[in-house]
Amino acid sequence: MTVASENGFSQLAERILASGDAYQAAALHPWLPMSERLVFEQIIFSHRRYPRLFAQASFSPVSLIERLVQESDGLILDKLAKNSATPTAVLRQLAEHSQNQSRFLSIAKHANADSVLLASLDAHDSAALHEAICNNPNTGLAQLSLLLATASSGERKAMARNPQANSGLLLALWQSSDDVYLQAEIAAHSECPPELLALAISNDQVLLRRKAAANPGLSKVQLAQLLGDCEAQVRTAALRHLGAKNIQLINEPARRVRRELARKTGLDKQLIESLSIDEDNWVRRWVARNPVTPEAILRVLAKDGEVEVRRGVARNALLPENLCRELATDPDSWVRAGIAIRPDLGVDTIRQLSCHDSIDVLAGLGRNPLTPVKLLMQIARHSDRDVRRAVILNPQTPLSILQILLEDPYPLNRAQLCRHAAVGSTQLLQLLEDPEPQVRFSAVQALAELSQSPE
Amino acid sequence: MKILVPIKQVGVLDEDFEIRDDGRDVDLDYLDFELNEWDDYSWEEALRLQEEFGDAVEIVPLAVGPEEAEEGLRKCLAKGGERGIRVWDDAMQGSDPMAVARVIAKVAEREQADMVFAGALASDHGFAQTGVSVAAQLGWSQVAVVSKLDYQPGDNSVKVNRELEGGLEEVLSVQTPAVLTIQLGINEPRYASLRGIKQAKAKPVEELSHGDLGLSDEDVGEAGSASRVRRMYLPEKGQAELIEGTPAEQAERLVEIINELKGVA
Repeated sequence: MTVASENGFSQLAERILASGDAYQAAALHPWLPMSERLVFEQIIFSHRRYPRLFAQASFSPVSLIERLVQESDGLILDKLAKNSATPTAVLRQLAEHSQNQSRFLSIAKHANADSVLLASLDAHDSAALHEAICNNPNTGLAQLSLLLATASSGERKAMARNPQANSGLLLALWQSSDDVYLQAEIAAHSECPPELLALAISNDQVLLRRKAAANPGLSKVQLAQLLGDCEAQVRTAALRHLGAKNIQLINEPARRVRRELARKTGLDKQLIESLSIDEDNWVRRWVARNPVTPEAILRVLAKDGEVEVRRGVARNALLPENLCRELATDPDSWVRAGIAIRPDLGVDTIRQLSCHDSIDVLAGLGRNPLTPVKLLMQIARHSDRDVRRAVILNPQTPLSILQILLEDPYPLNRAQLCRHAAVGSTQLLQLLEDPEPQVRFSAVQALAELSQSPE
Repeated sequence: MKILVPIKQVGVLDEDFEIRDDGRDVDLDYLDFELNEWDDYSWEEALRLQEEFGDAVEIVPLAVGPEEAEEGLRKCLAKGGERGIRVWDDAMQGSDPMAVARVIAKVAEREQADMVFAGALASDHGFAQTGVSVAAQLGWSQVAVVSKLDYQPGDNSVKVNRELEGGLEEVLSVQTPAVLTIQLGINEPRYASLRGIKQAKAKPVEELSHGDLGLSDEDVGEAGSASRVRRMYLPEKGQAELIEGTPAEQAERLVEIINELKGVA
């Protein structure tokens, strides 16, 4: 049987009906014409455990969630209100047909609740609900402004964080209180009025200056002022938002600033050199990983006593081939593993790496699209489930090897197989018989997608 | 030699749950069932002995529970072993660990088992009594919370390790027959192969009632139990503080709490 046809899809549907398996029925649900869904829903609703399970599962298809909202079981409706996959329309239905405060709260916190729905929840007088509405990034500016008059301290801070807040609202919030934590949130907001940002930058409170340093709207002059701040946490925050060019901070006394600095790509050679011999190994490991670090410095760092620094060199995107070969023989397997996952490995380096039996190295090679088939075959038979899964996650693994892994004892590995491009309908049909529900669910999803793709 | 391994399908609480109308347990609607984690380890330990010594060791999983308990037995049999035993009837409803232990002890006698490997406790009720009570019923030696096991079939003693307070390790020699309750981490339980799972469906599971074991109605269920659940409830929330506010406020409060605990002014 092939599923890449209308006939194949019908056979799949018949097979799932005959199996009576709720997981397979749920996976096929969105692919079925409306007229055929009822019979599959009978399987899904055959035991009350399943509707509850699918109501809370983020993997549940939207079509099934739309069906579940018609149920009267309060537990199902509560779970739907919390499910991240629940779409806006279903949340609206839940809100319209409910008097349940905790369900309203779940909806107010939901990422799919839109501004209209959130505005409708506002009528319910509950502090927790109002705070959730103020926190929800979908809440409209008009609603936030309406809530301002009666807002608690927590709600005001949530408003100040809300991306929908504009400069007018932020100004009103600032003027409503002397609370430094509220002002700090306002100072960090991209819509913060310039006059408030200027106040924050020159404020005595470190918190205000630090949060202001994180504001993307800072001018070059303001940024320069904050980079010269006496507090390391302020300089770090400013540095984090500094562009890549013209970074000149030498003899920085604070470790946390130097660590941030070592990640920047706009460093000049002198600065990189000084950071590369920093006493703090976190600074050196970021220099090692920085793509602008010159080869001569990388060569020195490749012999660093700290494993993580050498690992940083191994993970450097622009690592020269000769250094790559050298680190492939590093005594520490974590460094070699960093090499094993590189997308630019030569045949000799792969061979060198394959001589070692470290799980990290073999997992890296297993996942690497450059690894030869013969070696992949060996790795696919490894006793460690994570190493075997690496082969499944490799997009270049041929079907001949994946076929061996259809019998993998670890269920997650078999579920991952369903998503591999080389796995076809023959293998997926075999996985329909799998004892693990998640494998059967994934297999049906993949088969249904195949049936919609051109032959 | 024969090792009997009692296993249990334990209830796993849903995120939200309700107590039954009689107030003595969680409403079944809010429970999923799975093999007790400790029993996964005790079965693995039995499997390892069988693999090491072949036909000299027979391992038998035993479940005391209704039909749903068979799922746990099949899960064990998918990894090894040739047969299982399930004991249940309506009169056994409400059995506490003492009453369950009475049943297990009778099966151990009937099977002429040489050892019983039980999980140190069950994750749902956590009595940690069943294994201990089986040893008492049988009059066998018993070691609780075993973290390492060294045994040769035919030996009249078994060497076991136990983890004690302060990282201490105790090594004991105990006479057989014995009941050992197994601690998590003694081994790394395997996953069943697909072939094993298929084969397990065909392996025989003997179904017995308490009468088949020579036990009376007074030996099992609530009548045969030494304890009775009077009430189950969620206590009121304690002294925990929910740290609220912006991330900066939360961090400051956390520092305050740490300093209070450290006695820093």
